[in-house]
Amino acid sequence: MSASEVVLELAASPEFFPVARSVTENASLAMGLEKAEARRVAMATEEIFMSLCKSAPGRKLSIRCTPGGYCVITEFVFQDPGFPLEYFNMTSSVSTSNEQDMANLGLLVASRIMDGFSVERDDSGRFMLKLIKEKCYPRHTGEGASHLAPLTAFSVRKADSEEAAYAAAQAVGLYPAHALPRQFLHPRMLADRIDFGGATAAVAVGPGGEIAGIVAWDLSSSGSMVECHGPFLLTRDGNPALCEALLDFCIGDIAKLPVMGLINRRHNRDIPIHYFETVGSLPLTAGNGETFQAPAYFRQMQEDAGCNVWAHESLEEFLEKQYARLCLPRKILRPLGRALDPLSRSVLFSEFDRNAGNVTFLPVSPGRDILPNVEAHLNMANKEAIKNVFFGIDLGRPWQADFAPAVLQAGFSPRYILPYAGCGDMAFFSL
Amino acid sequence: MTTCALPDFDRLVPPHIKCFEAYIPSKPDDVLMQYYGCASLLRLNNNENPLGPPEESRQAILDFPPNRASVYPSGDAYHLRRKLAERFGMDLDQFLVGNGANEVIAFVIKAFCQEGDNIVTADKTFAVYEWVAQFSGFEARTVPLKDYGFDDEAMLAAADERTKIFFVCNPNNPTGAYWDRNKLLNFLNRVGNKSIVVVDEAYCEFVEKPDFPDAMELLPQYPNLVTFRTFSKMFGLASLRIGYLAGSLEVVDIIRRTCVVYSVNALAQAAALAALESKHHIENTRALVREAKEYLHHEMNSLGLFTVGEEGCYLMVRLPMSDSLAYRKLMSQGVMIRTMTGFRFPNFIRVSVGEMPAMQRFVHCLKNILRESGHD
Ligand SMILES: Cc1ncc(COP(=O)(O)O)c(C=O)c1O
Repeated sequence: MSASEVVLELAASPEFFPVARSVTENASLAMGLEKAEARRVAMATEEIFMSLCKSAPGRKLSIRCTPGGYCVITEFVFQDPGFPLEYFNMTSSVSTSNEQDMANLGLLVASRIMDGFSVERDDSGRFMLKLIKEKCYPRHTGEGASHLAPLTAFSVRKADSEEAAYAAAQAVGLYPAHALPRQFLHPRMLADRIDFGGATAAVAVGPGGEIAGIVAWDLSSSGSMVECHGPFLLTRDGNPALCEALLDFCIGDIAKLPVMGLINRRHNRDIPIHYFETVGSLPLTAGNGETFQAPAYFRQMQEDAGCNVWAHESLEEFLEKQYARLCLPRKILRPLGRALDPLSRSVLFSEFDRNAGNVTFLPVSPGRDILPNVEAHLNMANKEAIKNVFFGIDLGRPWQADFAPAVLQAGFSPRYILPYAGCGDMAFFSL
Repeated sequence: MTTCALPDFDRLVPPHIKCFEAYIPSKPDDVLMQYYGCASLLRLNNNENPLGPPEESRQAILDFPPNRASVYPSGDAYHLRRKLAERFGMDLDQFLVGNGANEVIAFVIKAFCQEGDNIVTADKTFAVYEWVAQFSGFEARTVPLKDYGFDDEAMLAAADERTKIFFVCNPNNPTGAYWDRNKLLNFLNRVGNKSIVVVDEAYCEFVEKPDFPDAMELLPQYPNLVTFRTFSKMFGLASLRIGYLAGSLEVVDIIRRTCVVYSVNALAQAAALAALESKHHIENTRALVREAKEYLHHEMNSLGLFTVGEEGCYLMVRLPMSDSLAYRKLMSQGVMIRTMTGFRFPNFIRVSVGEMPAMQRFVHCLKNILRESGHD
């Protein structure tokens, strides 16, 4: 346990419900959330705790509250190997009378209250239901930003949080909103993330100390990918050398980390795209209904030693084409079918990013009901009015191959492969 | 049967190990060739000597009686050290032989660093100094290069009273830049007796410049100086794993306390001993490197590609694309180079010098991938 976190261990029994609620609410307040946000954490805790009392009565769990700088993370951790996995399927409907479905509904309600909601499984088989509530940040309008005059000389260095927030605010005035990540649109969020160690930024500085460009980056939750934002240029000229120097700095900073790739999901005219490979793109619908293709620029951080991937035949053609196009050394293997218990139910994790209107479904365990389960999840996303629905299959796990035909049948199309983004390569689908 | 739970890693694993990434060496040729679908593989990634070991070492390897495999080697490479002492006019106890120069890096760090100490080196150099320090729990202060060479002033500025060792790679891998005699002497004078200065001369035998300093000659004047040498590069014995360090008697006496005896096998000792007798090997290798580098420089320039690599048996080339993509594309044509992203030189590759046909094949394949990606 780290010095700044709060951990509560208890059983999923209704009498402990007030304890769980008050601990998460008070921890959230202590970790910097305003009253309204802390109350929402308490409400989500209530939904999850009550649903746990139904699906896993009396089972032990711990609740961990951790400050994230820009947010508070509340995790429900299940150490118990016998924990009912079906709990994580978010496919219930209000009209159902089934107890399990009612329990799942609790998760769904909790996910609506939070900014981020996901389920993770760590190496030791522990499950973590992770809820993220962000602090409330004002959105920057970009007012007052103007291009600097071209620079004759510059140097690049790590930015402190104030410099980064300043440069992000300038970028808001100079780039279209869809080119900017959330933490740029809310520059104080970027500052908090940097102060907390959750994000890093570099700036290019001119001879007079003027900040002429910025790039920011953060580690994915799995730790295998780094996402980079930018570079963004604040001078009037297109200055490729400056943008390359910013990216060089970012790459140098992560070069010795156990990171497989660097990814950039937002196009802007100043990104030196020859540093990346375009692995594909995703159709996205923004909050205002505008649709666009979001590219996935990828840069491999290691020498690729080749690996095997597991895939259903329905995906083979797509994979072969992609692997040939990207020149990725892969051997595609078809897993031998496994005999599954006729009653086994498949389970999917749902990762919500409510602010972006996104959900990504990821398989957690196989079952006999894959197609109806995928369809039920799609239904749920529709009812929740989520605009962007994605599916990810980990090609490093043979049992996940069975999901491909159902995912395709449910209307998803494969969009791109992200090398080594999971246990092996990840294939991403969208509708 | 019950399965025990995993060890309590949270408590067992020190923080500096938790956040350290293991170095994964490349897979064997046969496996790589299968994945990349190439019929042969030209390894230009490890700065090996394309001529192989000297004739004298080849003979020593052939003469090695298989029966001796069952007998422990000399635990401290006695005969080899005696030969080195004779060669350099020093005492045999001024040498410590290791399982490659890599092993002696760890000896030095273990001998001088304790909790809270740091080492100072460059950010873009051979990474093992930094790694060993970090996974041993010590801070590695990495100072940016200046004009592709070690920045003496910045290294001195980065040091404090807890700096135990400076590591200088001379000539530098991968940039090929070197400190001349004056610069090294000035640095040693400035450091005084406050820290150990290691000069890694893994590639010194490739340098023909008259102002290149021989750290071995400076040992009598600077008792805090330690030099590393290896038989892996010029002497073509990389697979046998043998290298050594030399320093003053007093310093080596300290380092010896952390050194694992019997780590260097008998075949390696015999081959290295013979290598020191070689007559034309260095000359022949230098001639090959000179010709190949000239050719490479010329070809890269005509492709408009920027190169870095004054000295050493390697050359860095900056590509108009990601080095890891270029790696895959070259691999699928059977050519293996080293990507430089890990050395913090994004989009650079390092090519080890090979014989002319190998160099021509590399250039041909590189032209193919540039053409394919519209960069010709
Ligand atoms: C600068 C430098 N030092 C030391 C070594 C280690 O050599 P070895 O362990 O093979 O003796 C190398 C190998 O690449 C190197 O480049």
